[in-house]
Amino acid sequence: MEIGSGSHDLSDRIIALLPRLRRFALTLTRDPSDGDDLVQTTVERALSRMNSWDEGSRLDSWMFKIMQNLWIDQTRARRTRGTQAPEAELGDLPGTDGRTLMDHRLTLRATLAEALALPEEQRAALLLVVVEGFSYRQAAEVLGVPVGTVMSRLSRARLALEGRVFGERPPLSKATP
Amino acid sequence: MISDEALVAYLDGEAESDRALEIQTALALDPVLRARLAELEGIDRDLRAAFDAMLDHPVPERLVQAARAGRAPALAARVRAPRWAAGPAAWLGAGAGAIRAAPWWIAGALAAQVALLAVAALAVRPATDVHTYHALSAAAPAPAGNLVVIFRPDTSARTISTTLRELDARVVDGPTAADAWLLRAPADRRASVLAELQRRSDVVMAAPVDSAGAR
Repeated sequence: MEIGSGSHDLSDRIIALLPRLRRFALTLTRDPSDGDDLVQTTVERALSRMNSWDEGSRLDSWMFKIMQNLWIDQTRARRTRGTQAPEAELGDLPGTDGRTLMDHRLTLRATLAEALALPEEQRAALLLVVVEGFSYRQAAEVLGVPVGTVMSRLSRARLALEGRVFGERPPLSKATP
Repeated sequence: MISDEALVAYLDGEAESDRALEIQTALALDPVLRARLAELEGIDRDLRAAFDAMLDHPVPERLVQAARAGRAPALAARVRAPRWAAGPAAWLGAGAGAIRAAPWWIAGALAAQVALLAVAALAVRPATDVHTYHALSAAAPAPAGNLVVIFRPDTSARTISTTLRELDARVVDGPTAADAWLLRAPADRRASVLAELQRRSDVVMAAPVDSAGAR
């Protein structure tokens, strides 16, 4: 495949986005190797479709959306073949033995473990809105769902994290039935 | 009652302005709700710190090449670096002394995390201002009020208007269903405006508001 001269700028911009693409891919796949494979496929797909990218629009949203769609296709194909990949072993996350208790990375690891343990749709919404700072509308566009769905996924994700981090207890404020 | 979804949307800078006022009023009146919002903010801070740490890791050369060439390297060239084999935690730079743990440890570590939250919040808090960040992407940031007041129901509009003008407090929003007004007083005089409002017999309630949008 030949890429036109205009692709140099785009390539540079994609290279600058790679760390964030890897982060989104890891959030979806929960496996660093699978994540990097997904990033690679996403980059290839984006470059092959650069004509469909509106230069005035955000490159990050466009590529996140491509990645999200590729990932959905992959998981669907796996499910059809009946060979769904096993859930990532969260037991692989390093723990503590007390000596490293004051290491603040413990908190980061625990937080990451909790976030990655959420259902896929919730952790994707969480990453886009809380970590990437996307608006609900932008996240809805990337995920291909209505804004209201993004809203309820974020709410459920926060409640789950709140329950795990602060101990299981009923929310102090509940939606009126 | 403020629903969970509404509180979370407020936290994300996505509450409609009338909803935001209702939530600000509830926050001003309800210390338990304020504590809960603070908890949720703490969780978001931890999430950002944890996920932002991933960005520091070097990108594999094959991905840079893919972006540069726009062509898939031969499949055989897709070498997986051994350092990733440790799982997602490797992204956080697990040291050589890190202990591989069975899933049971997570519960214990979380108990420890609660104790660590205060320390960790200081240690790892990123220098970003989430609300400012959201304001850049949000459609309509809520106006920043710093006081909420409820007048007695029989107070005339003229009295309210005169009172607020005398105090140099501007109406940012309101009235809500609960007849609350969100006001903005000059920051340096907020305390005196508040005290004056609380002294008045036609004021049912006056309280400071630290709105998400104002921080």
